[in-house]
This record gives sequence, C-alpha cells and structure tokens, in this order.
Amino acid sequence: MTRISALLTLCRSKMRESRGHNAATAAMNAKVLVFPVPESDVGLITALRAGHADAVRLLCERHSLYLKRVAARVLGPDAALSHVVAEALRHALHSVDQLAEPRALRTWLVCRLMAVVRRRLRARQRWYWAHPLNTTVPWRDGLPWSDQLVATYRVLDRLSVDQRIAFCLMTIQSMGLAETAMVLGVPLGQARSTFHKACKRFNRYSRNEISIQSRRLCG
Amino acid sequence: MRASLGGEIAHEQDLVLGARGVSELDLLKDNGQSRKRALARYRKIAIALGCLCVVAATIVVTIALRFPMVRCSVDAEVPSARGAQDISRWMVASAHEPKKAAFSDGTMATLAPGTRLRLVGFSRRGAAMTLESGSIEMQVVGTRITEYQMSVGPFSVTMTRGQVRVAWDPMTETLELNVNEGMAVISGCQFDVGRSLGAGKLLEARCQVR
Repeated sequence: MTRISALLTLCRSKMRESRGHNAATAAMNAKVLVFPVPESDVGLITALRAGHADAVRLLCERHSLYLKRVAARVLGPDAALSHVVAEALRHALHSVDQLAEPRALRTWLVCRLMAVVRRRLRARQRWYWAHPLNTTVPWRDGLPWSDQLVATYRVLDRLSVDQRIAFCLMTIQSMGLAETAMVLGVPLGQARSTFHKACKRFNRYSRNEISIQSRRLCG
Repeated sequence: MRASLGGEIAHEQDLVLGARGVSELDLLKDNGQSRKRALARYRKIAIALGCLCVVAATIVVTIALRFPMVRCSVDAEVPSARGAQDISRWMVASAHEPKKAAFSDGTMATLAPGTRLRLVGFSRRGAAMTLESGSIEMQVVGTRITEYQMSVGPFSVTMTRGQVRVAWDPMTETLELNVNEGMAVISGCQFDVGRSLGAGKLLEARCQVR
C-alpha cells in the first residue's frame, strides 16, 4: 500500500514538471503581435496608457502640426516653436493618466501647450524688463514674415499673458469662447472679460503701428 | 475687414509652418536626453554653489567670532553686554571730576571735567564719537582693524593705536591734538583728506576754509 502511494506521488511530480517545462518552452517560442493603434483618440489614449510602441509616434503625427499652429498663433515668430510643442507633448505623455475624457484629447493637449507657452511668455516679459532699450528680441526666427504680422505680435507683446492667449486664440485661431475658457482654465465670464480687455488694449496700442493701424482684429 | 487680419496672419503662419520640416518626435526623443544632461549640469552647479555658500558662511562666522562688535560702558572696568545697543549715547562729565568709559576691546577713554561727548555708533573696528566740547584722552588698544573715529567741529580725528588727547573749544573753534603714543590722522578743513601725526606731536588748529 505504501509502495503504491509512493508511486502515485512520483507520477504526479513528474507530470507537474513536464507541464511546467511545456509552458516555459511555449513562452520562449511565443511572438508578441502588435495590433495597429485605432484611429480614434480614445484608442490612441488606450494605446499610450498600455505603452504601445507606435502610440507616441502616432500622437506626434496626428496632433503636432495642430499644436504647432496654435503655438504660432500665440507666440508669433519664434525660433523655438517646435521645442515648445515637443515640451508640451512630453508633459502630456507624462500625465496621460490624468486625462479624464479621452475624447477631448485635442483640447487637453492645447491646455498642456498653453502651460508651456505661458512660461515662455513670462520669460519674454522678464527679458523686456531686463532689456528696456534693446529692440532686437533674441527669440525671433529668421523667416520673412510680413510687416503686418510682425507689427501685430509687437503690439501683442505689450499685453498680459492671459490677455494675449485669450486674444490670439479667439481672433487668430478662431477658437470659440467656451473652448478658450477651458484652455485658460477660467469661467466663461472671466474669459469674455479678459478677451474684451485685451481687445481694448490691442486697439489702443495698434494706433502707433502704421501697417495695422487702419485694420482691427476685434471690435 | 476686422476678421480678415486674423485670417491673413493665420494663413501666413500655416504656409510657413507647412514648409518647416522639423519632427517633434525627434525633439521629443532628444528632449529626454538633453533634459538629463541639463539636470546633471544643474546638479554640478548646485553642488558648487552649496560648497561656496558653506565656505562663505564659515568665513563670516570666523570673522564674527574673531572680531566681535565693540561695546562700551561708562565708569566701569567691565563693559556691559547691552552697551553696543546704546547708539547715540550722550556722555557728560561733571564739572569737578573726570568720567571714564571702557570699551570691550580694551580701549579706555577719559573725559576731562565738563566734557560733552556723543557716542554715535559702534562697529567691529571701534566706535564713532562726536566731541561737542572739552577734552578727552583716548588709550586705544590697537589691533589689525581698530579704528576710532572722532568728529570734532569741522575736523575728524582717526585713532588706530596709542594714547591721544583731543581737546575742542567751541567758543574759539580751536582743536588741540596731542599724540603721546602711537599715531592719529586728522582730516577736514585745511587738512583735506588727512594728515597723520606720530608720537610726541602736538597740533593746534582752527578751520581756515569757510
């Protein structure tokens, strides 16, 4: 009897060993199949959260040009536009888990972008304080922009950061008031008030600019 | 018209941005590396600054311990601990007996009867005083940094060591400076930036610049 039970135990242990060996062999021969990231933003976010290999590239492909345009609307001629966008994307990738509504990915990315843009505009303001007599700004790119564009952004440099963002998003980017308020992170009424103050100041300062004095961006 | 300027700016930007071929993906990949390099550089700078701060703090503490603030007490051999705070202290010797003031660095001042003196301020080097009238005899214990300043009418007397007697008569506006030991420097009026007087010299002066 004892002999039979000992044989049974031996058989069981052998079976267990062979099962483990088979599983290990299967794992070694397995091949990970990478499915394409779905077209939608929800799928992209899911892929980003799962650490999909192509997700970061797809995020850049789908949204970087739009972000660059939005950054250009607010910052104007700036040599580091691509760096600003890359910085915003990097922040977004670090905090992708905080995105509550994946369908609003684009607006959320613009929010992240505006945080970087805001820092850059504050740095510019500090530069203006430190160099009151210097008219050649160091962030200008060497591209042949038109006089009216340069003059517009010269006037915008005199606005506060929030006023400038609200003004640029609503007049140049043609963004709606609700989305602008969301991007600024303020209530709708405050966004409207900021925009109107920006308009008044812009119209006042633009009187001294010959190339845009006869044209107005807002009422 | 008013919307068209914004539209034109946006259109111009779109045209130019479309021509610029910078891949954000490459920048994104590079950003991590450059960020690490920048952080490493900042860490080195922070360590260097920290070391500098420690060295500076050590030097300041050493100087503070080596050269404490001078204090003063009147008619006492040991200066009081609160003496240094008595800025603008008014000292008048009675008409019959002299008054003594002791400084914490060992310097002694003896005010002749009827002398009026104002202690203006103290430092690690010594003290600043104004002699209103009368005569004062200073026994200055000199160290490397000792400097006692005395304003006497339009003149200024600086004493670094030795025994010096300074007398001022406001009625005749006459200064008398007697250097028994050490040296003193007188400045102001005709002495301009300063003239030093060695031991055994006696000077009597009136201001000649009006």
